[in-house]
Amino acid sequence: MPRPPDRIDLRLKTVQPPLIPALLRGDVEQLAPRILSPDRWFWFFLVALSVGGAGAYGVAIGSWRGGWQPLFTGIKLPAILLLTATGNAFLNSLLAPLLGLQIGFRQSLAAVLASFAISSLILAAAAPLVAFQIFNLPSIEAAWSARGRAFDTIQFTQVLVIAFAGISGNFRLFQLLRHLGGSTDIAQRVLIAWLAGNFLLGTQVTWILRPYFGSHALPVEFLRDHPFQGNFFETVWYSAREVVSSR
Amino acid sequence: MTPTPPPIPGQYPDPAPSPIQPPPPPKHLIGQLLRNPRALVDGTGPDAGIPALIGLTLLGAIIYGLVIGSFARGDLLWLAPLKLVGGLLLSGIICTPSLYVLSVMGGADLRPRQLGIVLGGCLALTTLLMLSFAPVAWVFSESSSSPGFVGFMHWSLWLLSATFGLRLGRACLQALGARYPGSFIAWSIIFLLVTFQMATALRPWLGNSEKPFASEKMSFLSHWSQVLSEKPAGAK
Repeated sequence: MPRPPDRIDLRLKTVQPPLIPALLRGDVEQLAPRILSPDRWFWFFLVALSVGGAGAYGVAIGSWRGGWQPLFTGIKLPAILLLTATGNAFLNSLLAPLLGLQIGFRQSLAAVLASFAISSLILAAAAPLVAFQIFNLPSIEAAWSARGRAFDTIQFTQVLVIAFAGISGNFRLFQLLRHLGGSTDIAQRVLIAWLAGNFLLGTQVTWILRPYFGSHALPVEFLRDHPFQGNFFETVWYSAREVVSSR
Repeated sequence: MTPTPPPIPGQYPDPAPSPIQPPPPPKHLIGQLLRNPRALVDGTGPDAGIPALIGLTLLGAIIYGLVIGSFARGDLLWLAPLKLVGGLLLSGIICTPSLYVLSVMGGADLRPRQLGIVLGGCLALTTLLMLSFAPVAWVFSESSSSPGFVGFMHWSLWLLSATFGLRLGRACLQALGARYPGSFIAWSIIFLLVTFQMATALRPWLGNSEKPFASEKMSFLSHWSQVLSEKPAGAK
């Protein structure tokens, strides 16, 4: 059988399948080669998706407070993802081979960023829904009780949406790790280790970059006056102690 | 005969010849919506599908909107069709990104044209069914003076019609390779909730008001409980 001309081969090799559907479907056949040898375009693509998707969602949730808050939250949500991914990149690249997955620094960072990009895509899809919900809720200028109910509703929605986005991103990451490591056990170990590290850093970065919804009693500001004062775990601990002691 | 080159690793294989019939000409669009919805999403046909689906949606919404407006008459006679058209289009726009993301996560191979066909098909079949219910709805709204009853009737007919419209959407996505129906069911719930809230945001529909839109923000659940507790003004 004669071989087709090389010119056609070259042309076909430049045709890339669309990356967004591959990410959303968790198409490991498409994603694994890119994770193993990420090029400049792939890095740009993952960062752009994280910035665009999480940014759009941040603008939506910041719109309840109004003023500059949508812009600030639109900057801070992508910043949390990128700071967590880069801050833990070295740790994640050490944990992976220790737990049986033979990938390096670039590959582990690309895998974590890919999972963040998937979550950001889901957040971007939810952004118009959340904006519509906020449009229909009592504004931050409304009476105290109505404002409180609106705040609770927004918070509850954020928990649902962010939990779904996070779980989906990590589920796709698990599929990818299983493909790369060739074993469910290795994938589970690496995923749990990475999640623990990202949770630890991510919660504190989130705490430092507060506020996100804004408060009626406080002016709109990018960061609180003392952003490094306190931490997420201390606050949860004191809140839990308050609840227990008030009974 | 030219030999077919082998597929390149890491690349989508050439699409196999589709067993799906090519899309029908626009004059048979209604028949295709009712009998063979999968034919709508075959990519080999002309691009006239989406405008025809939008046209059908607008026609159904305008006529059913007139029926809604005929309850209170006055300005609502022309405002209700406008609100229904605007509300449906806005709901569709708000829900398009989530439809894309959830469908692709469910395994569908969805391109922008097919996304438009799926959404347009859902809306067109829904409004087509509402159009078919228009005589029944008009008879009941003429013989009742209770906004609660008439509102409940419109919502029931909307839900019934939307169920068929969404079933068409699911069939289209299955034809496009979707394997997990749960993702489309989740989107269907989101879409219905958005339409409920959109209708509340665009109220009043059945009661006369000095302003075309209510200024008070309210969730659809609060609005429904308020409407159902209202007493009818008297038999027509």
